[in-house]
Amino acid sequence: MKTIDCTVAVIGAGPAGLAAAVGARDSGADRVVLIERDESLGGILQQCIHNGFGLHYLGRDLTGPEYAEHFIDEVRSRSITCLTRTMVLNLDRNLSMLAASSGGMIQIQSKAIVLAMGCRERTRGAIALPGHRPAGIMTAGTAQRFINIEGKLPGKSIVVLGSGDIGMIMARRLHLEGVRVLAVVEIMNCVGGLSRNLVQCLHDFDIPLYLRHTVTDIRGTRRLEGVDIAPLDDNDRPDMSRKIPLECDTLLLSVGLIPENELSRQADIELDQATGGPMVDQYFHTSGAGIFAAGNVVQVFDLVDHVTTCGIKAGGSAARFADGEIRHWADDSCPVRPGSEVRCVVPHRLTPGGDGPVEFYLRGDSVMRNVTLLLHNSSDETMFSKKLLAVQPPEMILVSLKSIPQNRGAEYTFELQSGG
Amino acid sequence: MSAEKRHRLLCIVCPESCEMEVVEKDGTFVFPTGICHMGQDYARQEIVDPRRILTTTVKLIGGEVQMLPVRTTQPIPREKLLKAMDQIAGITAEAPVQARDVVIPDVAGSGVALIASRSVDKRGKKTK
Repeated sequence: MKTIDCTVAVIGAGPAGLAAAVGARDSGADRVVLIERDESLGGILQQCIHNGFGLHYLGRDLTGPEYAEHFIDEVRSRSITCLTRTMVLNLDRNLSMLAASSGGMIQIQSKAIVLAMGCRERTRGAIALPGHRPAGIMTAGTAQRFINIEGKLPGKSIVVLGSGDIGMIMARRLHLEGVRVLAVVEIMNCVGGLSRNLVQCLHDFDIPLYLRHTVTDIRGTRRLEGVDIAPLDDNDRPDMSRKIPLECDTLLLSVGLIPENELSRQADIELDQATGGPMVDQYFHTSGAGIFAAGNVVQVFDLVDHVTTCGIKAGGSAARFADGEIRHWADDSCPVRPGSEVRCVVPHRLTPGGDGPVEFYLRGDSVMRNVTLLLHNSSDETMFSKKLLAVQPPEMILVSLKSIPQNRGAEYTFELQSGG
Repeated sequence: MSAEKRHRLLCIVCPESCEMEVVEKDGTFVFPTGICHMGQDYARQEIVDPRRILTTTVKLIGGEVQMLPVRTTQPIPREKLLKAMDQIAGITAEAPVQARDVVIPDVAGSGVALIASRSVDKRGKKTK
C-alpha cells in the first residue's frame, strides 16, 4: 500500500480546508497534504453560483465559484499537495488515516490533522415526513447540484419545504429557469434565512410563502404527484381541516444542516450536542491531541467568510502543534458555556498560555430585539458586555476579546439579556 | 399629479430588518420614523430603480464541467431579469474559459456585461 508522511493533513477541500491548508503552509508546515473526495477543489462553493460571498473577508461581492477560485489560486501558489478523488475512510487517535483513491488505498501518517469535512443536509428521514415515497423528493442542495453543475432541471412544478437560505435561493433559481414554484413552506413564524433572500428570492418573483405551515401528506407512487400542506395550531399540530393540496412533481427540502462527523466519531472525538461538531479550544484543537477542526464541521456557519477565518487559524494551529509550539488542552483549560438565551458558543474552552485575541462565535436561542450580550466568569463578575439591536438565530454573533484571563479554574458563560 | 403612492418594503441593510411603508408624493418620499439614512437610501433605490445581480449558468462545450457559472458585473434592472434569462438560454460558451471572460457584452440591453465566474480548462487537461 502507498504511504504518505506529512506535517499537516487537511481532510476536505471546501472553503475551510482550502483556508486551513494555506494557514498551515504559511505557519511553516513543510509538507501539507489537502485531501478531497471530489474531482476538483472548492467543495460546495462550486454549486453555489449566487453572489454574496466574500463581503467581509475579501471586501468584494463574489459568487461561490469566484470565492472558491480565489482560495484555490492561493493553494496552487504554495507548495501544497492536493489529493483529489481521495476519500479518507478511517481516522484514528494516533493521527493515521486510511484513504481510498483512484490509484488504490493510501496510508497517510501526519503530525497534525485538520478536519474540514463540512456539513450535510438533513433529509426526509430526519424530519419524518408522512406519505408515499415516490421519486422527486430531494434536498435543496441536490437540486442545486442538478441545475448548476449538471445542467438538468429536477422537475417542472416545485414545492420547497423550509425557508433557509438555500431553500429560498433555490426557489428563485428554479423560477428563473422557468419552473413553477408553487410554495415555500416554513414551520416557523418567520423565514429561516436572511431578509435579503426573503426580499430578493421570494418577494421579487411573488413566490408564495406559507409561514406556520408544514407538509402533511405526500402523494404519488412512482413520481411525486402532489403534497398537502396545512397550518399549525397553537400546539404545533397541523390543522387538517384547513389543508391545502398542491400539485407538484418535485419537493425540495431545506430543513437544516448537520456537521459531518463520521470520522470524528471514529477517532472518539468529543462532540457538542448543541452544534453537532467537535468541542474545540481557541486554536480549534479538538479533544484528540493533534486533531484540529475548521468550518462547518465544527458548527454550521452563516457566512463563508467566517469559515475562511477559522480555517486559516485552525491550519496555523495545526502547523504550530506539529512544531511543538502549542500543546493539547488539558485539565487546566477553562470551559466557556452558553447561558441564558444562548444556543451555542465556539470555542468551548480556552487553553492557558494563549496569545492574541480570541474570537467567539455565538448563536441566540430565539429572535430578540434590544438585548445585551454578557460574559460572566465563575464568580459572576461581568467580563464583557455589548448591546445588540437584534438577535436572529440564523445570524451568528461574533465577539472578539483582546485578552481574557485563562488561569486555572476559570470558567466563562455567555448570556443574552433583554433590554439594551 | 399629486396622487399618493404607498410602498411596503422590508429593509435588507442590517439584521434589524425594518418593515416600512413609504409614501411617495410628487417625487418626494415620506418615511416612517425610526428608519435610518442607509435604510432610506435603500428604499429610494428600491422604489425608483430596483436592480439585482443576475447569476445563472451557460452550457459549456468541451470543458471539464458541463455548465459555466456566469454573473452580471453590475446589478441590472429587476424587470430585465427574465429577458436576460431568455437571452442567456440561447447561447453556449466554449472551453477553455477564464474567470471574468465576457460571455455577453450587453445583457438584455442593460449595458451590463455577463462574465464567467469560474475558470474551466478543456476536457482532458488537468483542471483546477
